Amino acid sequence: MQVLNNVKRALLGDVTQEKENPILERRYEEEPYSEPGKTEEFRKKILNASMQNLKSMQSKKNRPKAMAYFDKIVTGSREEEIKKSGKKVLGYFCSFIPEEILYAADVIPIRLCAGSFDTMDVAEGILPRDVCPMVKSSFGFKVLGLPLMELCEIAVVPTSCDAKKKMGYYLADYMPVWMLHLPHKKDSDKSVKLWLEEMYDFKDAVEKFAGKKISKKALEDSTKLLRKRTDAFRRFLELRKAKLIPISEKDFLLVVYVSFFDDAERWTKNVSLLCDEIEKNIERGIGVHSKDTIRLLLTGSATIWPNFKILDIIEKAGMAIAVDQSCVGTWHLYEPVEVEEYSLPGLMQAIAERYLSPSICPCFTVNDDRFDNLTELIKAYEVDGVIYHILRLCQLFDMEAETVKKILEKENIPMLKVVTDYSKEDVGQLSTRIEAFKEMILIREEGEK
Amino acid sequence: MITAGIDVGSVTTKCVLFDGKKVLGKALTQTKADPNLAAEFVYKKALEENKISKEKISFIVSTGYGRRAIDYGNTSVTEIMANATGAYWVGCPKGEIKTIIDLGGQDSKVIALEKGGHIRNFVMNDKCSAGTGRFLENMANVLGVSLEELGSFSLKSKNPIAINSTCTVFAESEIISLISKRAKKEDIIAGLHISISKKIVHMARELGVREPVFFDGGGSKNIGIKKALENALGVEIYVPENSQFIIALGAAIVAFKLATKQQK
Repeated sequence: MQVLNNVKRALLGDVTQEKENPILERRYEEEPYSEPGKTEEFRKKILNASMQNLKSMQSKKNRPKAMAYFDKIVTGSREEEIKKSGKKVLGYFCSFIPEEILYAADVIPIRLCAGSFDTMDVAEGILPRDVCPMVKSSFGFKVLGLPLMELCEIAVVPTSCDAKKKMGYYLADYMPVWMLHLPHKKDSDKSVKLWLEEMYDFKDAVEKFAGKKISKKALEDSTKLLRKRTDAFRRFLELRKAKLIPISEKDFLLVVYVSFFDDAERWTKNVSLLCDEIEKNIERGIGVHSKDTIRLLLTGSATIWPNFKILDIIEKAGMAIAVDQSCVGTWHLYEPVEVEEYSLPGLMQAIAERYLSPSICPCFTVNDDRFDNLTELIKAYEVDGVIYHILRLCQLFDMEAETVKKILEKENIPMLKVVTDYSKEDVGQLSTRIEAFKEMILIREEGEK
Repeated sequence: MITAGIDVGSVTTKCVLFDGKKVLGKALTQTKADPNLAAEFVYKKALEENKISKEKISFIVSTGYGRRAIDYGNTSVTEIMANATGAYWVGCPKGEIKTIIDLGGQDSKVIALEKGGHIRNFVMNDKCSAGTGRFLENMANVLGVSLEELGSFSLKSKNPIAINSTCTVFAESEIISLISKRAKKEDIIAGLHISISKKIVHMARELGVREPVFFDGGGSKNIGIKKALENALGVEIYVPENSQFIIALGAAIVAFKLATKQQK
């Protein structure tokens, strides 16, 4: 980069001295399409969808009492709390954004990936119909001026999949957007270097945004704080290995979803309390499914609150998800930042490593880590089958399905691929397939006996 | 002991009575708006026509998309399970069935069987109606031909026209424009069959096609589709007698197994 700049400087004079502004902003004079008059109506719709989920989740036997905290946060008070705090708020997408840097600058991070069916429709005025539901749903939040999107003064969008790349471009008509350059060949030295540079640039941008410098001390503290969060989360995941499934996938995903916008320290405390309770339940032989329930692994596209359609169907078919391999579940908080040297460069290095190389997002050209991780999870959580969930038009997960199918055939683990979206119209057909999958697993197990 | 299987499909509802060795009776009706009524109708019809009293039926299993919508039945199984069970029992002259293709009203599916008739894997179409009986029915309407005539029509074709859209809505306008260009009906119909078979072939490829291949469901009565599938897959396909009743039969067999278990 430096060499290139020197060449440019020699050719053009000192014009590149000033760092180019990486923030995308509105391209036109006129206001972009929005529906402020509908904000309240949709706020209610989204709350209703949340309440509906909670009602069914709360009615389940042996649900840990500590879940009450997460129920409260998901339907309530966080918006007001953030407003009152007076802090700067940054919204982001995907699982690549280093929250360590944000906490160090006293900025509140909110992950904006949305699972609301209701908000998709308004996005179609701008985005094409054939875009994945997650991107449309999230974009709709901005068009409708909904929380928590509305609290964010800036959005960070990694260049992960095509839909995200272009969504960032359109989102910039509404709010400043920083497109975080995510390399797509994650194991090459060039990529690692580029990513580290990107992390430094990101830190600069956050400092500018927050109006304060990030000291080594602040970054060390935030890294330690989030390390505690990861530790609590790993304990939670470990407990899910129990023979008697101790928590439903819906509850698990809710806990992770709440981490998207909750205060990290308070979240960690409450996950620890939840783990204490689950630990006791396991000791007492209390679980949320009966002993012989079929254990599944859910992999593929994100199942984001409140879109728990596929989970509903699996639950109704009488099966349980023991573990998921999802960027809104297991993978969002799993990786720890491993610091070798507590200096600013040491911290930055460790942070950069955490968010790139262990990632299992299918946006990477070669993604063997995902496949290795899948077989590890299958063994560790003793699953009987895999549900491969694809959101329609999520090409990357769709294209990796063939590879996963072959790997699972070798492992002799049955897999069911379902392609669906946020709408409810295919529930009947999905139910048939998932019930047939159950029948198939049962017959298999009978045969093995 | 006699058991019954009721297959509540999206277009037709079927009932089969079974005594562990042979089919004692069967009946079929259009499902229309009331699956429960259709189920009751076929069940009574099958009993009456074969002079079997209700009391003799020891177990009923329902299947098909409306399996839960009916008051009848002791339990239900999915049509995938019922299909595998029925097809395996009926068998095929070429030996143990390895692959089942089913073309129903709103579903099409491919099931791979392993030794003993157990389901190894299956693929089913998603919510889109492309590649299903419903698609054909719509196209037959546009062409002014009855569903039953489609097969024989297509055999007359020497130059099938490629229909590019598998979407029911787009295909309809594609066909209308072909009609206005005075394309031959048989060529359009043959093209439609190829288009449907392609969709099924994609599903079959996902599982890997292993012979012998068994073809059932309402669509299997259409010789044009059978031919198109054979061409595309490069294998011979076996269509059993009463191919529309295989799933109901499978449900009756499952019922028989369950009733036997219960007696023990």
